[in-house]
Amino acid sequence: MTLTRTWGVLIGLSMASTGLAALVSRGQAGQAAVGVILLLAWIKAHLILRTYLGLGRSPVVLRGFDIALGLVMMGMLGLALAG
Amino acid sequence: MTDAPGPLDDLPGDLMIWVLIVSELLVFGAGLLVFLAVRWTDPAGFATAQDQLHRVGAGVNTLILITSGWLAARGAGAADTGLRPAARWNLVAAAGLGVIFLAIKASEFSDLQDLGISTETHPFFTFYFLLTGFHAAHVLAGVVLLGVLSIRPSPDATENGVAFWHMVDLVWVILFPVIYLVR
Repeated sequence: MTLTRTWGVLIGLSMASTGLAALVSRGQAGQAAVGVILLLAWIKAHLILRTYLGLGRSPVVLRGFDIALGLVMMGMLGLALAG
Repeated sequence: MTDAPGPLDDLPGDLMIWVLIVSELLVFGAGLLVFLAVRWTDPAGFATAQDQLHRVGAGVNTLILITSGWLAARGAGAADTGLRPAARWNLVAAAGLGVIFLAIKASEFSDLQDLGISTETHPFFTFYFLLTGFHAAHVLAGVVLLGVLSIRPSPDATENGVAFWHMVDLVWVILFPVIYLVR
């Protein structure tokens, strides 16, 4: 993905997560929204690492970041849903 | 006989900038996990406190940082190909957006202060001011760094300086949803 296309996707994902948070209140829909919002954050982090930071050239390291961030995000999701 | 290339051989920039990036991610990640753990003890209080924040302003700030990162990456690319004027103006524009980010953040801090809200008001605000304030300090450092790099944008220095700026961006895309959006 080119730099400019990555920027466009990041803008779209950011607007989607903010819009989703504004539309959905608490309750079961809110809990599902939390999962989607954190998933979108993980995708954005992946795109920044891959294209902005250039880790697309180093796929093993990129995979390591993806896994580590994914585990942290899952921990955050668990704590967010427990609260 | 030469050694086979390792996974770190293709790493862009210096290894030390990656040590810094990992360190910062660990610090902010730990802070956000503790924030969510404390939230568990008072979810209603955290939701009420979160309602005092400028969610739209923070959303706009996300778009600003992402765009600033795009400009900085263009600047690094231009520096790498020897296009100094293009590198310089992209870095200056990226730093300018960083200043706008800080102005919006300062406005949010000021409005909260006008409401009598401080780090002592509620645990939510203790974490909020600590995490977003620490992040803002990194934005300020990044703005200075981009400004200095724009004077003479050499390829290696620009690549490492811009990597720092992307780290600031990376932290924000994780910090923003947890502090402002998760309810």
